[in-house]
Amino acid sequence: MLIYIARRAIMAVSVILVVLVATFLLFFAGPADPAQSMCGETRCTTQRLEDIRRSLGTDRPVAIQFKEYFQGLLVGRDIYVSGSPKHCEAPCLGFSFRTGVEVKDALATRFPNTAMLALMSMVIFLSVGVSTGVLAARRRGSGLDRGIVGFSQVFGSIPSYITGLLFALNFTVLYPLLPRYANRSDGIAGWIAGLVAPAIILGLFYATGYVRYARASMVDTLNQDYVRTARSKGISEQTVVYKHGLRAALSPVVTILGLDMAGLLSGTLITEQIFGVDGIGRFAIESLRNDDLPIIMGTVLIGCVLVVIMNLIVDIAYSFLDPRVRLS
Amino acid sequence: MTATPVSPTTPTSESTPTSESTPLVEVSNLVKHFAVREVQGLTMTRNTVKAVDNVSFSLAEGETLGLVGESGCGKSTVSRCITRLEMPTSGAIRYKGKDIARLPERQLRPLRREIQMIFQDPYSSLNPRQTVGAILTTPLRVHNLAKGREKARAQELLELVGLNPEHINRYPSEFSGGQRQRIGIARALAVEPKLIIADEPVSALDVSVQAQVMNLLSRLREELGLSFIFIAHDLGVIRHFCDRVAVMYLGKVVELGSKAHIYGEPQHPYTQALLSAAPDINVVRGIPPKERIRLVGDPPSPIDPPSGCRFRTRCWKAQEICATQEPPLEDKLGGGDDDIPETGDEHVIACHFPEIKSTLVAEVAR
Amino acid sequence: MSAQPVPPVPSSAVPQNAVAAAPERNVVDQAPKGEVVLKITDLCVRFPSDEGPVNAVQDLTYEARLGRTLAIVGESGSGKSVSSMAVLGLHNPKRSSITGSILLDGTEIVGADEATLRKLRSNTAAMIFQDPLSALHPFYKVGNQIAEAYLAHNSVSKDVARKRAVEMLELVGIPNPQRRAKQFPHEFSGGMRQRAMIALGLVNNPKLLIADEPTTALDVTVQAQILDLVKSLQREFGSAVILITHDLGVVAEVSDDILVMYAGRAVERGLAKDVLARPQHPYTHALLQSLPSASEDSDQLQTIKGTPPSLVNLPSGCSFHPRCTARDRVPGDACATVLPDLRVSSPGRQIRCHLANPEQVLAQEGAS
Repeated sequence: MLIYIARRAIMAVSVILVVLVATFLLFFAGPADPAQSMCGETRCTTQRLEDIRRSLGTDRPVAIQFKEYFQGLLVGRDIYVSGSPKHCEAPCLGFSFRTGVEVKDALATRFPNTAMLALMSMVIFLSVGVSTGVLAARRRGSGLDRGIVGFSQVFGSIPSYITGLLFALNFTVLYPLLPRYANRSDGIAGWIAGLVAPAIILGLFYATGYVRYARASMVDTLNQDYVRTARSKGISEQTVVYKHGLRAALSPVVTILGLDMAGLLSGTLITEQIFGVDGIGRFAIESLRNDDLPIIMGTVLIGCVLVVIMNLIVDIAYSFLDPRVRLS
Repeated sequence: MTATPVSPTTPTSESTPTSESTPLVEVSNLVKHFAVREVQGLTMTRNTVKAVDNVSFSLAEGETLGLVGESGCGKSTVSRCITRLEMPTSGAIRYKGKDIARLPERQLRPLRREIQMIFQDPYSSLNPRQTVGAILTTPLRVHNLAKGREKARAQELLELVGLNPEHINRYPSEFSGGQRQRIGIARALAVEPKLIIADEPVSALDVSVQAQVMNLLSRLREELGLSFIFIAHDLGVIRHFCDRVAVMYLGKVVELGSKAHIYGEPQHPYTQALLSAAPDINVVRGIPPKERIRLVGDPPSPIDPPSGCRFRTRCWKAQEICATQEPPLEDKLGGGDDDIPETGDEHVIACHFPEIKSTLVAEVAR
Repeated sequence: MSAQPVPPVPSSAVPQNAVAAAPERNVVDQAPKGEVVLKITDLCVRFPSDEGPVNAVQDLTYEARLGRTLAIVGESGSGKSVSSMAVLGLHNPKRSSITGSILLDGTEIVGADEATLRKLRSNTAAMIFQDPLSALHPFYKVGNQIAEAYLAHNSVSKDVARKRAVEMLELVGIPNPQRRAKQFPHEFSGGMRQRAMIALGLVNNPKLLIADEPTTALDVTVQAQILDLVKSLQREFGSAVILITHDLGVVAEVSDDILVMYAGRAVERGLAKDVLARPQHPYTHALLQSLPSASEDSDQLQTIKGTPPSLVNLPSGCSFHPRCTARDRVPGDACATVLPDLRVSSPGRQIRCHLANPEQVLAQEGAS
């Protein structure tokens, strides 16, 4: 048993490590030059550029930078910010090139927004998606089924920035039924109310996928022999469909849910942008624009860790959901 | 265990004047273990499935050997080892005298042409996106056969197995189960093999089609001089098609002998039980079997087989010795074998208490 | 003692001259012993498909009686499973069209509403399926699955139902039933799983048990155990059993009556022993001829040429005529043009064939 946990842990760490190295090389060794963008176009002199590079530490070889970054991650390190050394505790993700704020803190203030948005949209896409999918599966081949599948395909293929913008425009600006922005300073209720609009858009967008997964999985399950056995017991059709059918049909949905949640928790770029949610996704875009490498690295790391963790959770959840599960 | 004298595989029996040449296939002390990991939540257990444990037999050229036994007895694993779809854990598989058990893939290539397989399921063993022509010409191209006239050869093959050569451009889904099995047979024959390993070739087919495919195989065996290792669970099918029969139980051969031996005077209790349990056409016609033996329970798991004789947990003759000593596969009641003089074939049994007992119906004159 | 040799069953001498030896019992014309539990009359089951309606079952008439085992025999696509699923009303009414009458213990099944069907399922008629691994729900404990069927028809507490499940597991010969009831189906061996399936089928003590290929997925030595179990339970409970199978050996082991189906229609009906010993329909005869035997050597197997017809596009006249070897013994072109009725050919026997003297013709066929 310990061997298995150790094996999973080693696998998880090595995945994270590979992604770290790849991102580091992409950004730090790539053509992006944060010093150039900080220096500006017109007043930038060679001397000034060099100074900025030195202060950011990007003038040294990539290997050394990576070593220091990694060291910071594990044990913490001192970083020179505007000339003076500043200690950054492990796990150190560095300081923002732009604002000098510690990356860890910057991410921590934004993560609750993203997480709450992810959870609220999950509630929507799971309830809407799965119940609609099950309905379509039970009426397989009917007009209702075709309508549901067709609508989910059309809605799912409209880019979310179009539906999102239209929704935001209609319901928060033209007919202000929902608040336009979410602020944590408005208190819990106000904060959640502010997230309703983006959660609906995100939830419905994801729901289109879940309608189809749930439908396909349910159609398959309802054709299984054990559903026929259940029906031949003389129990009600509701029990047949929900107790015997749905339980088995949900297992494959859980796998997709895990990955989707990892994606949502590491930030939605467009929805957060449209609805002005100050979350990880919007933060990542901003820092990309500014070549703020420590923050980009931080957001990538979060996403990576989330994917690994969610996968582990899915595997464990699976073995509880399905007593047969034997991975080998 | 390796010290057990295994008569068919010792060099002395090869050089006896009665045997014309070396056997086509000689399997000695074949072992195949699979490591299985079971993971549930955060726990994991490791086990070894002893799928095949010390199996030895030989096959002469032009001969057909039947492997019979229940699921989990290792008959399919034996065949997958001979075709080297699996690498044996230990033991030797000599094909024309050459040990192929551990040959690297490169050197196996030419042998792959000579040893072909026919599979059980005619639905999943053919690629649904390939036409029959492509299914039949791919092996020709791989082995550089019938260069430039692949299509003609494919049509010849279709004709050989009783299908319309015009149908070369059709897909497997356009054929019935029996016809697909014919395509599977044609595919195996495409590369002109010497040895065919047929793993339950008719058990997925309807009764009325099963007989057609059996007859086709018999005809091809005669016309092309093929040797067969024929795996089936149906004792009637085995009797119809095979010269010799090896009865397997939990990874071991428990009885091996000519068809006449196995069906006429079975000595191992398991063979007797198997023959007694199999519904037979003469029983169908209302002639009762001589004796009914009902085994209790299912075969044990090959992960943790019983000590000593593996059949002892279901055997009505089992005594103390059966739990402590594994009976070797040897000629026990030599007297019984003298009734079948020619061929010099052996009848070996792995049992501490063998006894000739026929459980089938009395031989009937139709 | 883990296995005991059972003495041979007394052999009933099979007379060579079959026509002269009229069967003593008559299953078809005069009512034999046993109350009729199921009476099917002119049943037709059709499924729509892209190529046209699939005529899965046509003009099927038979009855099942308490204390007797009826074997329905046929190849895949013969309609044997489809017809028996209709008995429990298990076909989706939106995707099938069913006509005729199925009287189950006095209640009409064809066109019955869901509530009526629910009361009959498991309580009056239960079903056992071919592959117990896929027929039992993988996520629920075996005991609970059995208890659920009991709870559906008895107003008792869950504890009582669970106790009943354990009793049933014990009844079907599962050792350690207390512990086994708390296990999942995948923890059972194949034979044990089928026993559990039988326990599930019998938990409400139904008058009719339909076993659809109950032993096809099992090994022969286990198959023999399961067949013995079904036989002894039937003796104990006196229920009617319908055994659906393609295996004539299984029929010979356990059945009283037999119904042979081909391409959706019944082609021969009678006492199992008689039909198997002296088949009268050319199809039954050919099926028996094509079986390889374990008790005698055979050179060349008799075969039935061709393949079973498509149910969308059945041959005109007798569905079997394109594959029939006795066809030229029927004067004119009747076989290809006129669908024969299921008629009484000899006492206790019905066949759907134009042959006037089938036994003589088939005896010559077999000899040649």
